[in-house]
Amino acid sequence: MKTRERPYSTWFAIGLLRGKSVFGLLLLLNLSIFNCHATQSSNYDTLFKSSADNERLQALAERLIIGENASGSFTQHRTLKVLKKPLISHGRFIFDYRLGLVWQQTQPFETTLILKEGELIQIDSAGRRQVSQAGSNQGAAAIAQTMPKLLSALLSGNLSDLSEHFNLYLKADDTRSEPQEGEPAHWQLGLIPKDPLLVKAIPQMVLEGDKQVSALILLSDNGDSSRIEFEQISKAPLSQEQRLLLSDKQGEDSPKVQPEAKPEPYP
Amino acid sequence: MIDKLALRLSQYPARLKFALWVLLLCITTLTGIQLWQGGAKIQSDILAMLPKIQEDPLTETALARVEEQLSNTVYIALLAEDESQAITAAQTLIESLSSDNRGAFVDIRSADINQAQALNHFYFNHRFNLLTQAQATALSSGKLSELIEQAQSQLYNAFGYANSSLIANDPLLLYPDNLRALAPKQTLQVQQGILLGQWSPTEADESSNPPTKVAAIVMAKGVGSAFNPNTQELQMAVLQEAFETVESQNKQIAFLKAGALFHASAATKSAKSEVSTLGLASLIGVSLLVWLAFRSVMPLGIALLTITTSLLSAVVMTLLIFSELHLLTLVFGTSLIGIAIDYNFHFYCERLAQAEKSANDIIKQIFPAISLALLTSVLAYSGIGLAPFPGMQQVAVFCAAGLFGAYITLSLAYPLLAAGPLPSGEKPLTMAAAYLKKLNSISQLLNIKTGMALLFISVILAAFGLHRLTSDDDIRNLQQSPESVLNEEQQLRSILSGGTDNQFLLVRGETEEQLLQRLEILTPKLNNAVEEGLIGNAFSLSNYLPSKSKQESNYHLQGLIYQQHLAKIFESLGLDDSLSSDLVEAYQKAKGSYIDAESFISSDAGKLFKPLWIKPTPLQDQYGAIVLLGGITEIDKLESFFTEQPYVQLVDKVGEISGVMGQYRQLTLWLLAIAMAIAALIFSTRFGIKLAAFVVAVPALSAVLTLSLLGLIGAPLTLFHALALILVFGIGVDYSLFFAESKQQSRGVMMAVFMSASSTILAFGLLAFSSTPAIHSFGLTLLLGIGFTFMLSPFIQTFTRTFK
Repeated sequence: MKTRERPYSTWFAIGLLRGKSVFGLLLLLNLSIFNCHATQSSNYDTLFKSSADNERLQALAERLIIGENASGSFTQHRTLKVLKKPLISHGRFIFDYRLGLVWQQTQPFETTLILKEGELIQIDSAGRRQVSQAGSNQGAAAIAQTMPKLLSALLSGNLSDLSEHFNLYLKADDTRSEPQEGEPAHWQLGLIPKDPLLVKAIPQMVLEGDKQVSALILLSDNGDSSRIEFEQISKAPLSQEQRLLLSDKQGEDSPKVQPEAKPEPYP
Repeated sequence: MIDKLALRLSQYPARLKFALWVLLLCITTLTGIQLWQGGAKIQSDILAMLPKIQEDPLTETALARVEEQLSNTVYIALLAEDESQAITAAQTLIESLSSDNRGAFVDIRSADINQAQALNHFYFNHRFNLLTQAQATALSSGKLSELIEQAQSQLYNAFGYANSSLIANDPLLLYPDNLRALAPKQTLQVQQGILLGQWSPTEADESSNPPTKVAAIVMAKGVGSAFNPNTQELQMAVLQEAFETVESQNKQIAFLKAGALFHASAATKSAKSEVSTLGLASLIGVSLLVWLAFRSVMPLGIALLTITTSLLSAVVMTLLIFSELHLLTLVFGTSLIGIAIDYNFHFYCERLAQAEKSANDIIKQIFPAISLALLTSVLAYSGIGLAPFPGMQQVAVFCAAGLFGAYITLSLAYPLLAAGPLPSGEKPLTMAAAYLKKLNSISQLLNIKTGMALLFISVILAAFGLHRLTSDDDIRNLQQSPESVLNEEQQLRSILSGGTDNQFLLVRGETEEQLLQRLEILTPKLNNAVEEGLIGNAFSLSNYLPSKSKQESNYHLQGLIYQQHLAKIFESLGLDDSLSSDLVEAYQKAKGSYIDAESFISSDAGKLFKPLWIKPTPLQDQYGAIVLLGGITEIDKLESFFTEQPYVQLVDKVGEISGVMGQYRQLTLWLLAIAMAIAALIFSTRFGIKLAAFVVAVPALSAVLTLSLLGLIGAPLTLFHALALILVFGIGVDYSLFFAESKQQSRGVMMAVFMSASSTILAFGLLAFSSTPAIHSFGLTLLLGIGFTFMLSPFIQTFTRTFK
């Protein structure tokens, strides 16, 4: 059989790749066509007017550095306008600069999200696993790109990495006087994604803290918001059990739910 | 008759003939200038010289669509150390290409954000007709709670897609999965509107390079055909400038390019350099030959004049008939120098041999032979012209017109221009005579026994060679792009993970609905083909255009949500009750509004897919859909894979053309035999049957020997070999003709044949060094064929001496 890589065929061959990737980050569009109520939480208006300069960012970064790994628990308050009451969930997280991130919700039901090396593993309440390669579909790609970058930059205090992907705004109480010893000033860091698609999904983010990061707030244009509060952040080296969870060893013998097999479509 | 014509011609005064020649020359030149200004152009599209195959209108449309789509797009990868550098470089490149006002490229883009929005915009309104396979199964098997659970889980995900606006329209969050099903599995990321991929160096240069780089992809659509040299030049220049702009900002950026443009540009470049190097080498060689033989400036000047007029008439005639000149024609055409000069050689060699005669007398003497030679050459070229290749037809017209130009120059201009005296040239003539004498003595040495032995050996060798002769008609051999172009393209393909082949499936239907249902049947088969490794990927419109019956059933299934269980869903998810009436109303309103092909392909979302959908026209009444295939491994198996679906047709133009090439290769060989028979018939009116047979036998034997030699060296036979054999006959028969005509005075002829064979070999032999396989085979065949003819033709004289 002749190889198909002959020149005549390749003229044609690369052809209809055109538009192959136009679907990138499709879901991240956040269905912006319905965003008719552009109510912006005014709490943060002043924050997003104060651009962060490098010097102050650096000062913040130095205080934030927590090392290569972290673990802790979180409480998430999610307020959606169409719901009668806010959704509150609890869980824990494990982060390692090299290994990746485990985001495990324990209440009101258990779901786990493991991100490592561009792979996103989702385990739902029934224990079904879905593995997707970063980029294999938009949703996964978006989260896979944003979350680890954000968190690893935040948790390791690498703010220059952050500024590559976000416009940064800083409001800190340390502008008036030197922070008192043992009494760290409260600060807010505003982030607006530079990526035009990401900015549609998450128009604004706010990171709050004093000595450490204490909360991450996601704001959307339609009035929905999510507030994730970090608690008991530990910089101690990860335990064996935590490492095991991160490396997701148990996943290898359980069957993986693959996305529907379908021809790879692109014109 | 020819003799009478020669006599009549010689009676006109030389000045009158010359005036006529000048007049003809002026007319030709003026016509040429007019044609050139009227938009005649040089064509380098290899497709333009391929045969036209008759297809039904639907297939024809499909082929045209696919070709147009494939040939104009260029792909650029910008390789950088990190993402931000790659993104900046890609943005610079896009900006630089877009700001150029020469209009070389349109549609300059990387990731198309608007397209994504457009798809969302189009499909959201049809969400009540859409369900994924899993969703449909869950609904039809009464597992609504499963869907509720999944929605619940999404609601809690702060980084997910659930938000108030979406939930208010789609409480179970079914729509995002449907939209996702429209998106390809891909390894590319999108950041800030730029497509990013991973580039890994090939094994060869792994040591010198960092392991991986980030590749930003930029695509652009060229305006005009990539095969038009002017367009090519413009597009390449615009690209080069844009690259320089990027480089001026960041020197570390490397580029990878792919697209028909780069193949075409490389082909033009190599053809241009071949025309100049081969043409120049051939010209220098011929000039040197003339100088050595005649030791005079005059014959050289006349030779150059002959070549010039010959080329002029060739170009003008070709442009007149085809209104364009193919670059390959020009390359083939350089060999015209070698043939056109033959007439000149015959004239001068005769003059040298018979110094006492005037130019006019010589012309009168050689006129019959030259006229017959022209006739047979034109006959040979007509044979080439019968091939269904516009390119080869051009070559035929080009060469025939060129020869005719040389012929006219000889008969009309030589009597005046070439009348000057020649320095005596006994030396080459003596050498020619000595060579002939030697041949003569060899042929006399041959007795029956050794002759038979020699014959036996050559028959065995020829039979062995012919037996080993294989053929290869793959038209992809016509185009041999440089390694660097192929290499870059391969790397880009691996970044983009795959590509689309030029073979595709064409699915037919009597109605739109029938076609869409057939596409739905085809989808699982395509999945099987991918799993079995027959193809790497396939792209069908089926995902985008569900059939009406499928949409109906999906709408019906969603009734379970909106008409039966909405209260339960609202309660489980804690949704605000005020939303429910709007939802029910929206569901009811959507009844009967279906996605149809026409509105899809004319929307912003579907305009990209428009080429894949073929509507009925006055010429054909069927609907057609193109299914693109990539990474085909075994085309034969693939063909039989769809036999159960008679409405699915695998369109393989390359394969079909290759098949036609094979047919014409055989036909050409038959034509050669017929041409030989006709020539023998024409000659027999002048020489008698025996000598005529002998005259034709020389090129015939040469052809057989050439074929067997090709078999021995293992070169597969192509149409181009066959076409070259026709030329071998056309030129080679001249040699034997001249010998047959010359009767006893053959040393002038021997010298002329020697010189013309040398010049032909110089011209065509040089073609054997061409990097284009077609031209190479053509040249090689002529080199061998003319070589054999040259060796064999003097024996005609032995025949005339022995039998007359």
